[in-house]
Amino acid sequence: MNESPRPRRDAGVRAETLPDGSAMLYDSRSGMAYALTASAAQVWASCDGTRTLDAIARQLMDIYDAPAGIVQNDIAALLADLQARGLVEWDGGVAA
Amino acid sequence: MAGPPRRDPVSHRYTDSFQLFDFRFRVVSESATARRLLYRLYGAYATSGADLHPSAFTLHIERLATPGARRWRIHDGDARIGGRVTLGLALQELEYAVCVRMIAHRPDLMALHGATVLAAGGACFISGRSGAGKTTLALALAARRYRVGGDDIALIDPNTGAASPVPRCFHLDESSWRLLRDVGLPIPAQALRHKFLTPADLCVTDIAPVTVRHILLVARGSEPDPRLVSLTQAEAELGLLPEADWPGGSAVRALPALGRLVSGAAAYRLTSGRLDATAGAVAALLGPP
Repeated sequence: MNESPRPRRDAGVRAETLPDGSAMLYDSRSGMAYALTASAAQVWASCDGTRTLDAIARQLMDIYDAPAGIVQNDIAALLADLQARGLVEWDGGVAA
Repeated sequence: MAGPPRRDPVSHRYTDSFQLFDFRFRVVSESATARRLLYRLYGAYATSGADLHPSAFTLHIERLATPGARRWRIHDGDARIGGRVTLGLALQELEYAVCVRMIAHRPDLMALHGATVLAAGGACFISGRSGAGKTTLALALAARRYRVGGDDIALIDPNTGAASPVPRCFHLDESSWRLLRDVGLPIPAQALRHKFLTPADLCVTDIAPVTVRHILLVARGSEPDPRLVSLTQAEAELGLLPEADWPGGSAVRALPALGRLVSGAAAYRLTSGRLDATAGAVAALLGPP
């Protein structure tokens, strides 16, 4: 069976969501901290290893009422960035 | 206001005791001027010192009469802390030594570099790298009747995020003194003469812990007009992280404390313009003093 890849938050990354919806990520291995916007924080929160990129995009399209193509591209770019920094991994293979 | 005189009839030295964030120390000096200036900084924290242990941290201010030597010396009884040609500069070394030891004495609180300005609607914490203009901006706000609790360090309660500005003298270079005269900050003659300006000189004493409602991260450099750009609370927390100083602590410990600090605040990145215009833009943001 060819499973769609699903992003998953790295267990070693500590996350803190703030009242305005933005979030801080802290990677204790690298000592690096990152600030996420509210929408990026929602993507991060959705990276539980069970949802595909398409599912996360659909979820955010409902919230932000934005065109599907733009939302998907933005999420893909964000996830690629998070993956490059070692903050997310992909279950079931890496997204193209 | 100076406390009751405690002058030794033999040595003619004054001994004064203070308690700052539960850190107790005493200062010994034969100079009435030094003592007067010291009380402008620590007067609200003066104690009787009656039960202060003889081994408590004690700093001595001495005036040296040797020709060609530095005129003022600060020492702790054993080791020299500093020596300067002016009393104001020597007292800056003294209060730095007190500040360092006081912070080490309170590992339960997080030290955060920045200025604390008090407005009717809550406190504003102004942070940024050294030389960004935090002090000058804070004092320009003082000229607009905002109360400045401190320009350098606040102690943050990690459980509540409340900020307590640490009383320190304002560190100003010549151009800053000029700028502040231009914006009309009334500076007491004594502070001007000794280049030793304290929050009490601006009518601010004994600040209780405050909730921070605005955070300004001052960018280096300036533009013709000031610019305020809204930041997320996470961006503010990330910007404050390099300014946090917690002995023995790490970012893992600092982040929750910073998180509580930023949680009730609106944050902005400030690119300064002309000082008066910048203070005006910030005042519009803060509301009444």
